[in-house]
Amino acid sequence: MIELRDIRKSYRIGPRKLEVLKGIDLHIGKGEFVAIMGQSGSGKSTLLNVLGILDEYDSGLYELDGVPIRKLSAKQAARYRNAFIGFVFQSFNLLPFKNAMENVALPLYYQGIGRKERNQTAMQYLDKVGLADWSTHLPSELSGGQNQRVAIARALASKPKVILADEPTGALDSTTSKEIMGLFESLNDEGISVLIVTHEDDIAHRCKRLIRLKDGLIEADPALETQAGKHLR
Amino acid sequence: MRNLFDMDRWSEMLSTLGKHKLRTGLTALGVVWGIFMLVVMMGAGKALENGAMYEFSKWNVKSLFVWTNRTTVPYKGLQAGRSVPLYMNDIQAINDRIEGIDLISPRLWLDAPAITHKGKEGAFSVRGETEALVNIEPVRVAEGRFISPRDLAEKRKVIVIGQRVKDVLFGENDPMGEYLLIKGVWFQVIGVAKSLRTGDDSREDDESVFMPITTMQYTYNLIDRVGWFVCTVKPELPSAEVQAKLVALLKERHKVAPEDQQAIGSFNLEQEFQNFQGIFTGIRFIVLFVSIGTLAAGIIGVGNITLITVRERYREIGVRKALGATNGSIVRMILAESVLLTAISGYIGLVAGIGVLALADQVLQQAGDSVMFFRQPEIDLGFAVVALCCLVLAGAFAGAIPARQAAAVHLAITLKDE
Repeated sequence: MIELRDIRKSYRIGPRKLEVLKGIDLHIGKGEFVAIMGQSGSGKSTLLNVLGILDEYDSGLYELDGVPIRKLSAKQAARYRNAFIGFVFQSFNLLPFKNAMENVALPLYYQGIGRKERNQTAMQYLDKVGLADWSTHLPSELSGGQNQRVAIARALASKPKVILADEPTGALDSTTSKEIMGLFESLNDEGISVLIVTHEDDIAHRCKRLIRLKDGLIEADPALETQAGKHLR
Repeated sequence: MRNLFDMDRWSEMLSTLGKHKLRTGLTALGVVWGIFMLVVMMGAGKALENGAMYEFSKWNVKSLFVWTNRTTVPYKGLQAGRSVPLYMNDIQAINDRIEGIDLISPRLWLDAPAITHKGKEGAFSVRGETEALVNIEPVRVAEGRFISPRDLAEKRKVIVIGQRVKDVLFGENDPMGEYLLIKGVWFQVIGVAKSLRTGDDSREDDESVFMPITTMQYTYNLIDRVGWFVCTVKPELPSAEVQAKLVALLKERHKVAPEDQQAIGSFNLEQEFQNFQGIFTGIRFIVLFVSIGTLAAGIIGVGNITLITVRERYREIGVRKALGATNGSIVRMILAESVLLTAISGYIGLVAGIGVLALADQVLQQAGDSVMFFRQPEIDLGFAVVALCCLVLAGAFAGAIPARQAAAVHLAITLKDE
């Protein structure tokens, strides 16, 4: 479902060119539950930005659900983000002046869905993450774990192909982190693809596939190893 | 693209504005104040103009006032410092020889002699006038009648008394037909005159008594004498031209040097009127200039605050974009917010300004004629509408730069966690 071939990306810092992704090859299938780990500076955030169509890449090939993601207009990019990807951020990124339900309904607003249907759908997803009773609360009135649940409900609301979560437990205590991971697991059990970027081992190990990044390259990927093993045999 | 009248867009925008009350309020304040000042200043300017025009409307604008002084230049063997007396034949000559004179009214006066009636006494100025006075000066008959041509021809001993004279000498009693004693001569009251002028100026008229000039000439040994005179020029001729000819004629008749600026004095009301009109054109221009400046400051304020808030909203914009907002929708959002804000606050300012003007108008109406040169503050509704339209455009303009900035926000950077 996600197909990356020799993805390269560099940033220009003054006169120097800093190569952040040095040729990433990656295949993620439908319904997978993947963790990407790496030190800071390993390129994992850049990789996530490329995957999330938040940033462009210099060369290589990126296909998302069979659609080539290359040289998109800003408008197309926005449409693909809305249709394909559900984002979950470390700091939740909920709009502080909108209540839980309105936050969840926001991606649907950009799909042009009417208010009534939008709010109904938003309530369904809030219920799914166990926050139906909190729908009228502002983010400031909710705990960190609750905010992250609202953010996950928002990511789900547009029925994306994949959930991209950037350090989703980074701002949470360990108990809450476990709950959130539990939520991701149950979503994955329903067949939703989940990709989590993290630097915490215990979070990464709860995922079904762990990809390690180092210096802009994939250092370890069990899928590759199996393939390589097959090849050797 | 969803259309402009999409209810969802409006409610989304209104809720965003409504949830940031302080920000919205502060942004709005600049525009509210700007257009409020514009309306109030224009109204005040218009009131000044209305006030002045109202004062002028009481007079015949084509009036010329002419009097004489001592000469200041020796001429034809006559020394300087000679006084120049006016006579009835001067009036006749002007009437005969100057083209364009409509009415001419010679005048005389006695300086505040004692006037008595049944033991009551007052000192009022006594003016010898013709029937033309009421057609030239803002004096109208309140009771009875004014001096008539027959009064003048028969040199009748009749007088018209000013409002204040009536109050002092007669109180609540009817003055009609009563007799007053002035310098040993009895005169019968035929009318009461009332000044249309405002404030202190009206007292000058109301504290006078008017008698036929011929009566005054024959009664007080001033035969043929004229103190000064007022005349009106036919509407189609410029007063200044007639004024020049008239003064030249008097100088010739009284052997006054043509270059003597002092001997023959004259005042041209039309010229004064034109001066005032020039002043008000200037005032209008200044008011417009200052108002547009104030408004521009308000609009730049909107742009400025929008720019700052856009910076504060980078994360919000980033989130919206990550959730599928197109650049266009972000630009439209910022633009529409700015337009809506300027339009609504402009409207509030407009209504507040018009409210203040209406209030001022009411106060002025209650004060009546006692307030001079300030009357009926008002603004042109057409101008207000144009101003509001300009505001909407300006709002779009003010939002344009911030909106472009917002659209250019780089997603990967804005969403980055600290």
